[in-house]
Amino acid sequence: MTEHAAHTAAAETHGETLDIVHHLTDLHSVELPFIGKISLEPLHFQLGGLDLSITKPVIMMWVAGIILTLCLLIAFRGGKLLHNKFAQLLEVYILFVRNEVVYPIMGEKDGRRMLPFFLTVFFFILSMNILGMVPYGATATGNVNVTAGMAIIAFLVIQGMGIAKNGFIGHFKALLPSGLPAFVVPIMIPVELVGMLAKPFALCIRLFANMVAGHAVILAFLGLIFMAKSYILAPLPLAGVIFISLLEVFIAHLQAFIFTILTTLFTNMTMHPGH
Amino acid sequence: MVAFLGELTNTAYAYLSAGLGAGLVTIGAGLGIGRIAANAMDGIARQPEATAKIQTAMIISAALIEGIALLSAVICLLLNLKA
Repeated sequence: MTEHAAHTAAAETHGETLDIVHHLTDLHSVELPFIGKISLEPLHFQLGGLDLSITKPVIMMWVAGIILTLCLLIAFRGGKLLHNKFAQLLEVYILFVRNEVVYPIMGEKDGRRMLPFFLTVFFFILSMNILGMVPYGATATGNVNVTAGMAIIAFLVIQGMGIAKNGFIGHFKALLPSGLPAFVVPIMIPVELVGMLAKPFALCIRLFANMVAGHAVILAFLGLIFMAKSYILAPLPLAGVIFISLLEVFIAHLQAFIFTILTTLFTNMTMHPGH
Repeated sequence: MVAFLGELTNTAYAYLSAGLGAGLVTIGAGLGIGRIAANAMDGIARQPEATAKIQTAMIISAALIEGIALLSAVICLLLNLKA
């Protein structure tokens, strides 16, 4: 237990309340082992009215990117997978994404071309999710802006691949099923447009809400310890926290998988309309 | 009961609706995902060799339902935070 954690615990015991929301939205500082809290306020800057400060989720995204780059350095050399244990672990993930997610949905030809994008999405989300379970880490995907950014990229890829495959006019013509009676068309156009935008919106909200919900539940269980203030009752919430933490590791993988498979599915739907 | 409700402030109503909403979301999502899971189990029991395909389709449709449920859960969370 570091000094800071002890201080936080003391403050929460005195205040009688555990401020869950504050913990989930504590953006302007990063905590490090042995060093303590580092304020990120100096990194505050604005660009044309947009607040583009470097906040905790941004730092965690950088960390995730650095970890992924290190993974590549450890596991690959000259475009070849090395034969160490870590490379084999990565191979399991990569083969899973390729053989269970991308190839069955898109087929081998298109799947091979799109595979790097889906692998990037999968590993980036996975590493960001897992960082939330590391001490001193935070889940960048627990911030709605991060997932919104991911969803916008997914939206651009989904629409862009449809346009690249079927042409600009063919892409938007394929939104309407052929053989539709003329009077339904004015109703169907807004419906299809809303559906087009709702898919990435749902991707964004799903990832964000799943990650926030898990962490809120962990904090709620920890809050029970401070509420009860009893050494006898403390192990019970602790067991709950351990269980939820293990569940969180599973959810981290599941959400990365679901984001990837849904993006694959939607991309395939725009690339091959009509079935 | 009516007199009791009259004494509640707007903030209290917001908290109340957030809690009730979260419960209703749970009912809906539970029923929906439960139906998917039940039918997927049926399918797997009838055709064990199609397990992988059924599981993938099950996870996708469960995720779609879950997305709507989580959207409502976020609305409840916002009610709680902004109240």
